[in-house]
Amino acid sequence: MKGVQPAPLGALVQVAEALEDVVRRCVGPRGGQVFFTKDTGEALITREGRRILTALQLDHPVARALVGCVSAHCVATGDGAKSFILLLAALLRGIRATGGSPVAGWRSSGQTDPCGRLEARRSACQLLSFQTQVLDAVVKEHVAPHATSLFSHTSPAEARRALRLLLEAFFRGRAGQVHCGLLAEMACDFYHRWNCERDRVGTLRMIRDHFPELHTSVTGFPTSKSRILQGLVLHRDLTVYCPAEGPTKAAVLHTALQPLLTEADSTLIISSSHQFHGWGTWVAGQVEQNVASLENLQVKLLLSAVKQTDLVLYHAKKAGMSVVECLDMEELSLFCRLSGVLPLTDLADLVDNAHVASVTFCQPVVLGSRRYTHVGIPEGRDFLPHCLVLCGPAEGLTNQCVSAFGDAIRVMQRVCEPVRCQHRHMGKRGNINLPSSLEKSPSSQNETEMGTMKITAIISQDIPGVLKDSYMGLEWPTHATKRENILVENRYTPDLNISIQGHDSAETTVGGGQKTSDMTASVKENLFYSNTLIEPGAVLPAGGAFEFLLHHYLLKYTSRTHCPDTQAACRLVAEALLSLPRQVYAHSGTGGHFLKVYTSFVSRIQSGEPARPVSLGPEGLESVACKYDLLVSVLQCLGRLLSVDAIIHTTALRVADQAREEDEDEDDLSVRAPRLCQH
Amino acid sequence: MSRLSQKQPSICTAVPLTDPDVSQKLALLRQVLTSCFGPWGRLKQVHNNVGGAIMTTSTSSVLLKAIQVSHPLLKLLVASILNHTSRFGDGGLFAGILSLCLLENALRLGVDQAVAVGVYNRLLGLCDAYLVRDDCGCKIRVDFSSTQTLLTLAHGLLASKPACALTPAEVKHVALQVTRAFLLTVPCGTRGRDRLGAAVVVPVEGQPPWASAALGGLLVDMPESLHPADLELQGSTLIRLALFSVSLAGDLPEAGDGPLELHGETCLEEAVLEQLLRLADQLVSDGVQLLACQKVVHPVLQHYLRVRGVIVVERLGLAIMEPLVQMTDAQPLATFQAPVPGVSYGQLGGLSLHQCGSRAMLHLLPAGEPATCTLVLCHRNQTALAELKVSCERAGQVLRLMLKEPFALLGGGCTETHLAAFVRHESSSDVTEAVRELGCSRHDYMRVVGAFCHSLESVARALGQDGGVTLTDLCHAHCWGIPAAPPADVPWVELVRSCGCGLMSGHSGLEWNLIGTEYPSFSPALNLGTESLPCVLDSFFAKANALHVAVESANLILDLKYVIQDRN
Repeated sequence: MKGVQPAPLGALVQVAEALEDVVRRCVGPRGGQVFFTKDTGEALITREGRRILTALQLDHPVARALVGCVSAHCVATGDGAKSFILLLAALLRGIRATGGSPVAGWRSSGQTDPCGRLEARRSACQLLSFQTQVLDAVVKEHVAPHATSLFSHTSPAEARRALRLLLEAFFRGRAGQVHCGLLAEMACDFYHRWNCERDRVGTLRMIRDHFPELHTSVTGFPTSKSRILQGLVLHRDLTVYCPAEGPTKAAVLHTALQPLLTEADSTLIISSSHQFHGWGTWVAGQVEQNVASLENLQVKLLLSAVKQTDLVLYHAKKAGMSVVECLDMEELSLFCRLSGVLPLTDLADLVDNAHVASVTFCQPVVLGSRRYTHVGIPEGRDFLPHCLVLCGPAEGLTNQCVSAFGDAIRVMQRVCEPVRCQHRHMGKRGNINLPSSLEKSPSSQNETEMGTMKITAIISQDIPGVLKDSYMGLEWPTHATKRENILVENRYTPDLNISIQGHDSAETTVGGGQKTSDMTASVKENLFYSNTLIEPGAVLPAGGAFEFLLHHYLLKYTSRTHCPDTQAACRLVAEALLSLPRQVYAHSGTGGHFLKVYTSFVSRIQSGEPARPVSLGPEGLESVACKYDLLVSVLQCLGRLLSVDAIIHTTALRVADQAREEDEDEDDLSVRAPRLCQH
Repeated sequence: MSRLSQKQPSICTAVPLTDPDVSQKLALLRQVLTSCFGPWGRLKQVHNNVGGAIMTTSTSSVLLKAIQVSHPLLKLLVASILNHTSRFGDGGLFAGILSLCLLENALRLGVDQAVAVGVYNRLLGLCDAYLVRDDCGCKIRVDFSSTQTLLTLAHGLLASKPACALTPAEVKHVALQVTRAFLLTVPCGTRGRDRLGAAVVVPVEGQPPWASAALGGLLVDMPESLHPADLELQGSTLIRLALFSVSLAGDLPEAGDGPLELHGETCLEEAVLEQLLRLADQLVSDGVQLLACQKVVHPVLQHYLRVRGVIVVERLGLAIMEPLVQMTDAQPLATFQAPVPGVSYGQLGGLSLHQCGSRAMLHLLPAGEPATCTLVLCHRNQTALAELKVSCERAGQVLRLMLKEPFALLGGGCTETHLAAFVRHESSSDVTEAVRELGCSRHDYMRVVGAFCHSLESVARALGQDGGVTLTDLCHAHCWGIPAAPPADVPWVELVRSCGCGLMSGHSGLEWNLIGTEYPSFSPALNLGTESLPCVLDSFFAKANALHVAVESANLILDLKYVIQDRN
């Protein structure tokens, strides 16, 4: 341990605002791009908030923790890093404004600092409970009904148009403004060509999991040359190519067709040159036989994970078989999965028909400067496989397209999934006709939460030999420790407890009493969806509709509740929400002023018209689920950051480092490096 | 662990383009590229200060690889251009100059960069649509029934590379050889899947460029032990050839991971050699007259075969294997342990000696009419030969690409001025709609359009000679160059001879205007009624892509709000 430093609210606001400044120029349809270079010569062009934030290699431990939260959110949903920062900064500013003056240093002000730190802690707990108590209900009952479903369109053209609008809005925030229309059209086309409609979630999940195998990045062509190919591009050239028309049979090999004379753990004893000749002949014979048995199965294409010897290639060529060697295992497993065959791992299985897949065609394809193998896969049960060719004039730009496209698929997947309620509070809505349990439960839940006080510490290590800091959350039972800083917390715990209990009971009387009647009806109607917060495919017009709606209904809610804390939390979140549209409309020259858009929108809601922000900007749709996820993530991150009490600098290496590094490796995989052929 | 050091925070630069340092660097790169451009381009000598090799070039792909640009933005641009040239072989300088001009013009205007990006992109779409139109005034359809267009294209490519150090007559000769080589690779057969054959380039130093030649068949290094007299023995009949891709050096075949243990008097080397000689016996009895091997052939085997009248050519290398297979129909053998099947032998039309200066090479003549050829390129010194080789390969690439889209664009700057006039005219006709789509003011839109056209015209101007003046006519919007600044009182009509592409000659009835000055917008007229072919052409495919690359790169750089440099 090198020292303990307090984590004041002021520092938090400063960090968040610094990041906000960086991110601000890239937000929204008119935002710009960031060019990221390394001394090694790598270059990346991106508008992806997460990449920008991680590329900054920040020093400050709070900033690192913050970036960690953003990354976690992005990995899950594929979008929203920039909005995350904006929202967080707005919330923090709000908390600071309500909590009085920013806090001075901890040590300098003596042993306690009741004002700011207490406020911060309190707001943290308030916000966490705010999500479960208020937000979910407001979203479910007021915001979700305004949404239209992406899948409810009857005509395919309409459905396609809606999906395109959704994707276009996504790409407008992620790719250069020149390319977003093109990419959106491609993503939409990709979705339909795969026949995703039959099993949306399953197919999209598979595409997302295998995205590195399903795309080929080509550098040196304009982005408009990107296209979709039917079938699969295997990222190796054909070693042996025997042109064949029409559908053929293929076999997947995990082993060499030429038997080895010796194994690693055995010794070959040669006693005469005659014997040596004999072995040579035997090997040649075996190879010939193996190829012949493949020929018997009418196999015309060998997909091999390992390198085959020249002898095998020679025989394959004689038999008219095309061969692709040294294929990536991931690619082969995807091929096996799509075509439903088993790879050959043992030469004894050579006669088995289960290892033979049918392919509709097999040909070399030249993409950029490389030649790859293009195979067609017949239509499966739920999908028709396609793959992508993504082009860009420079490598950094190609990578941007690739990562944006990958995240678009993640977003589509998220849109297709329903948002379910994970909180006990909402679960209890099912038992809403048991008033006694409703009366009791929130407070008891809070007691258990309060019993184990969470103290989250950021431990930063600053010895020179350490690559990364670790962020860890510690959970200390309050009663067990008697240290000074814990004492501080003990002192205010009861006070907080009371306030939250008060807030809860107020919420139950107002919120519960009013809702019981209509809730019971709807719950009985549809038991299955009882804990579905947002239906799959729910979308709202882009350009701030979600923020305006939620802002409006949160303020409305404020007037119905009597608990001052809930009121404060509602106001805080409602105000912060507006920071996003404010930013988007800030630098759109003729796109309409923020206030103009906002007032016209509110008047529309009040007059009961369909919610649609009046903006002159391009049309688009946004997923309610993604927006909701974002808000929840921000609230949770904020809660975590605010409850940090002290920053402890240590010199010890933590195991957590490894976990982090693995994470990063995974990220790098998502952008496929061009592979080198061995020939 | 002690070697690890803490990560440095990255450097983050906001709005990089407004930095005066950056604009200075952009201007410098533009000057370098502009001065390289065209037949009157200046050469650049690149060397490092520790005594490395000195290189003289004006080719974008060579030059940009050799110079190291410092600023990340320039790196981005250079990478885009290099990627383009590696695919298309031409238009690198065009893309670079255009892109830099677009950037500088957009910055000078001071309009919102997002607006500039939008307008540039829209105008690119306009150009694209115009270039694919049938009545496009700056493109001509390639007539494959005559070689004139092909020759013109190849000539234009070589003539614009002064570092090749060729006289005009030599340029003609080399262009002819390049075109011949291209034509030789086109298969004559009408079978189903025809592929273009391979053209192997063999550079020979120390000979004048007149010695360059395109030959059918392949050239390989003369085996040391082979004498010209031996070749005459072979006569002019078809020659049977065996082709091996496996090494015949007597290596042990791969057995596996485990160790080998030898008992008794066994000698594996001898056993392998015995096998090789057995193979030789079979080859001799099958009447094979030439043994070609990708790798090394055992000296004993070589001697054994030579005595029996078989010519051995070894160490062919992978590059020549594919054309050789194509030419001879032989199947490369991957084993010497099994007897050679009769079908894997190939046929050669004959052997001859090709003497190129002091270098003797064995010429393998094709048996039928396969599409394989060799282009022997000669030049007096190494630097010029390197440039000539690059230029000829690029020319070959351009000719091949033309098969994909049988079009060519007018060269000599006429395409650029023509496009500029078209864009100026076309964009003035739908201002209202464009302004509505892009969400910018009318004034800004017109200024950015002007910047785009000026950039195109600057490329045309870069083609002109030093001290010269570049004009454009107000009817067809072609580009006209005058070698020296004219006296004020002489009308232009007395000075101009012909336009850049040579399609039109200076006759009265045309009006001229200095390039870069304002002129009333007009729709450029088509070249109807001219039967003659232009004498300077550019590749359509390469130039259309270069235009894309230039505008997209400029747009990308304009769109950048931050540069983050990771210093780890």
